[in-house]
Amino acid sequence: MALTARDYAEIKQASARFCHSIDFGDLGGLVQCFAPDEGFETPADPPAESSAPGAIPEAYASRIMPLRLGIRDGKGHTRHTPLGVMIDGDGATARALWSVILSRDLGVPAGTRRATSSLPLGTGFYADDLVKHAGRWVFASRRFFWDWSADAGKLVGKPLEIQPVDAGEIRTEMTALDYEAIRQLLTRCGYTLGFEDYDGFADCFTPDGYYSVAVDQEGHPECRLRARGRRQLWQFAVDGTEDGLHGHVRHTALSPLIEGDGRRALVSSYALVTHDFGGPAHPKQRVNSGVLFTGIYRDEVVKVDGRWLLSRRTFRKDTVSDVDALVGKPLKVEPFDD
Amino acid sequence: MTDSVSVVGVASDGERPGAVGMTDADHEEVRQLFARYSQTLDFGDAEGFVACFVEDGVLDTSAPEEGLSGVHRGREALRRFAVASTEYSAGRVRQSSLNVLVEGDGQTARATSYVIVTRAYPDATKPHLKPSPVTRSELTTTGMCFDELVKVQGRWLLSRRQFRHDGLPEVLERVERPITAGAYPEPAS
Repeated sequence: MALTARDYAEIKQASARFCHSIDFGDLGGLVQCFAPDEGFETPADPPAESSAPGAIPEAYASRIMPLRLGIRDGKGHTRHTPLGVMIDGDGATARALWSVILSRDLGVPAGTRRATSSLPLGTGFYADDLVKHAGRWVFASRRFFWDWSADAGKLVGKPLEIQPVDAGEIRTEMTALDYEAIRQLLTRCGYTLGFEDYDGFADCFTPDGYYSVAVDQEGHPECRLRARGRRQLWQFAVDGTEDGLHGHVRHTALSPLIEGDGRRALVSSYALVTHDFGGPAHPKQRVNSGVLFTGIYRDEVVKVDGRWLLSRRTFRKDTVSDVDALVGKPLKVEPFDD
Repeated sequence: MTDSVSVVGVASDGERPGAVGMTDADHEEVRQLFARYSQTLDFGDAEGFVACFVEDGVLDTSAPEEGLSGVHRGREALRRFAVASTEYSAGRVRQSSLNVLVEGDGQTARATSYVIVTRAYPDATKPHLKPSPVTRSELTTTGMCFDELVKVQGRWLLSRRQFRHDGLPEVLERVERPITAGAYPEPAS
């Protein structure tokens, strides 16, 4: 049985609860995110009074000790933030792959300003196996790997195993599954580009799909690139890889705003493109990834045989004139003009 | 809501008969509301931003800038906040709510989310942003939103949103306490 929209929503809630729990040291909440195994029973209910470490049975504490160390190190200042996810499964089990950014705030600065600033510490992925236990989704395993790790390197150039969402038949209005399928399409498009799965990238588009890009580089006028059809899109992905950053760039689409009719939809999202630095140069190096650039995706997507595909993608870097032209106007979700 | 922005409903898939609580459509509509909040605010669509709130909605933010800090209650105050925010950000700031944790009964809901904020710079005013000639953006801020939401005429709206920068004492008070979704509790008097 395929995953339903409710399954996707519940899996995302499980992941959010994991991240909140680990960042804030709610060890009881953290235990609840996992399936019971090897005699470790998950309590029927979360601890009602306190989830301080002392309230957790020793068996749980030892099981999640590595996570506790992470909490202690973060002291409430570290954030594990998934940026996008792809999930597939059969209704009883599922697997998920999340791109993640780790950040740390720098604390309240001296003086009267109360704002804090933060640094990206690194980027990576959660690879999950999930099971439905007692009617709710929990992790059978959750594994994190850094973007500069050998585990990430092994994925470069390989086809993505997780399958696209089958959103079913076309209906007269957008379903929750349609939204989910579109969001995962955006994640897939970014993943395949970053991991240089060029066929997978081209397959995110319809056969006559179109991609237009406007970027600027210091000292140069705005530059526009266009590709139409899967052959050109494939070449576009090959040519677009940043020199010297092969396999180390991650493209994500945040805050996707989707408007559609069940057959066709328009999407506006924020592009966040990061790169890792290839691993720490010395053991105490804490900042290992950075933002390469940001921008805006404006997409048209269509539903073909149950699968949502990009028919038109327009990308504008945040510093180009097309983006400036949006400021102060009513938000209108539509592709940029070429 | 401005004329140019359509109100989008979400049809449910496979909803359990008699289910009480947040449906898959509710979860989706909350996600879309958060995306609309970010995009209207970041691009200075003040009317679209105000329309994300109920009539007497409240935004309470730890932003330190004049015109942005503090509590903004009601549509006129929210409109002024959006205008001031656009003047400050000049359309270069992008904020996204992630890790959204939602609990609710289908009519009201509480949410807690992580926020990451980036800023793009139009020129080389930031020398440290030059490991590559294409780098003109940086992650500037992270924080948390604590929200109360209500469904009004079939649409989810924010009745109260609190934003707090990560690292502030109110956020650190949550360390080693059970995770709950929703607005940050009022400080004890």
